[in-house]
Amino acid sequence: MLLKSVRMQIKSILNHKEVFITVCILMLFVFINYFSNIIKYNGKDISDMYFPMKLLLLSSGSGPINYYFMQYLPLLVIILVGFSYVHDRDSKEIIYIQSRVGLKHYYIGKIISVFLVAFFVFTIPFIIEMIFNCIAFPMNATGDLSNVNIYEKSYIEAVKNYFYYNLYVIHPYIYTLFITLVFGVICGILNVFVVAISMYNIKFKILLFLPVYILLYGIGMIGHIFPSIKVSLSYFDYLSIFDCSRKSLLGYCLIIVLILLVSIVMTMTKSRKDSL
Amino acid sequence: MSTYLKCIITSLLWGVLESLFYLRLNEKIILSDIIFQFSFLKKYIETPYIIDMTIKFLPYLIFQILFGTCIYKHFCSASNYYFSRCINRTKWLLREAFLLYTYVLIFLFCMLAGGVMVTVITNELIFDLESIILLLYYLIIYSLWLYLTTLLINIIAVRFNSSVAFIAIAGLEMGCIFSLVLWENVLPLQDSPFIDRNFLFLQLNPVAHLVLAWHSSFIEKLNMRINIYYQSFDLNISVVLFLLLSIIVTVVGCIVVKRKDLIMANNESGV
Repeated sequence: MLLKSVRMQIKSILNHKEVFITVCILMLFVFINYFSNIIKYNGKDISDMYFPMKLLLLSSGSGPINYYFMQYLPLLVIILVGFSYVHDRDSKEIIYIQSRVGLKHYYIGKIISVFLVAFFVFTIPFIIEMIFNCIAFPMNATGDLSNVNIYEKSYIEAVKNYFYYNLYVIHPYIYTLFITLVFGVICGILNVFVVAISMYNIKFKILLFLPVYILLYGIGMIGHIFPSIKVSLSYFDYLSIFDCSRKSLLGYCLIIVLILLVSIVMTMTKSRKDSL
Repeated sequence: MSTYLKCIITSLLWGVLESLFYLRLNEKIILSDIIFQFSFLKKYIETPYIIDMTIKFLPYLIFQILFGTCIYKHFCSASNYYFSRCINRTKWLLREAFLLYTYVLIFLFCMLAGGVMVTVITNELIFDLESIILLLYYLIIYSLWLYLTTLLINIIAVRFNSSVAFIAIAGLEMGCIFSLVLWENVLPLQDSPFIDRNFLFLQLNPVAHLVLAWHSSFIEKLNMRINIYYQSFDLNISVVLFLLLSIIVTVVGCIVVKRKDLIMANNESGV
């Protein structure tokens, strides 16, 4: 029954124009970055060329386009499936699905389907970009965008600040793929969080922007309030690949797990209280 | 919770939060330093600063989210009943717009008051004439900007819905903030033979009008405190610009509200 619920809801979510719009925006970002790299590095000697994965949209050093994308990320995350529950409620589709699969399966199915859609939407365009970069740029190029020699001590110290840098040292391509998948998981969890909040009679859709903005910007603001905190608190640094600022892996994982737990508890409470 | 209370609590909270780091200090702080904290700091354009700017934008975004429905909400439930008793919608909108401007002023004033309250716990706060003038400019420029953007969100929400309205305005604001990257490399404001021309282009970006530290003033002492680029960008230009835009948005709002057909679907729920 749960599988049926997930399948029904994924089908319903994919029919929303928001999913199409978000995929288009993501692909636009990817292609702008890809073609600007192609033009910029056309004819560059392989010995001077940068590591192709460091030219990706999600890569921290890829320039203003990465910052633009990260800035619009909270909006994109909410547009995608944040209004999915509100849509079901307003179009009365909720009654149809709930009567077919049951209340509990509806709510559990809702967060699973939202997570899956968000995960794939926020992962596939970046994997496509990875493949394109592998085709367009020499795969044995090793340069860093900072133009620092990769055997220099300062570069080695900077690399140690990458998330899971041990994996980067073993295989940088698998590392890039792994971080891209982690990025998809986080976007999925943020979407689940928004949907869990929307289950509690939010009168205006605009209010659904608050939780994600407060969460992402609010954590960043703690850094401004307490300048003595030495690790970065900006989500720009945590969600980008190859970011060399000092980060707290434990704090990052704790926050993500906490958001997920809160979302699950909120959904379960709602499924118990609700009635057909 | 009443709207006034919501406004006061939110602003005080942000004011206190943004100034908590002053608790670590024990020195003489000028009021203008606190004002710079709330007006996107006193820094030159560079990428890390632009990211900080995005984060510093949060309290204003929260205001836009919380009050982005204060006029629009009347069109959501029982609008037919509500407006059947409201003969002159233009007059009604002007009254609501005035109320919105009051909320904006309360928000800005309380946020600053929260910052001042925290600062004076461990520091000695100095109120000088230049700071008072800067405070007035801060209140005028920021109130007009917050008023016009929040009113615009309400108007677009009346025409479409609240999420579309917020995405449009917040997207535009974020775009303006990040377009400042252009003035880091493409149109540099330092070490360039075209500084005057580049600074003129900077004034075309609405967000640049919010950074008080980039402005100039005809009051010499105030000018020395704020004008970090040593360029001509009078504070009064920003006041006039936002005043004009506010008038235009209010007039557009009157037209949209007047033409709104109430015998139709609820924008928010679509039914």
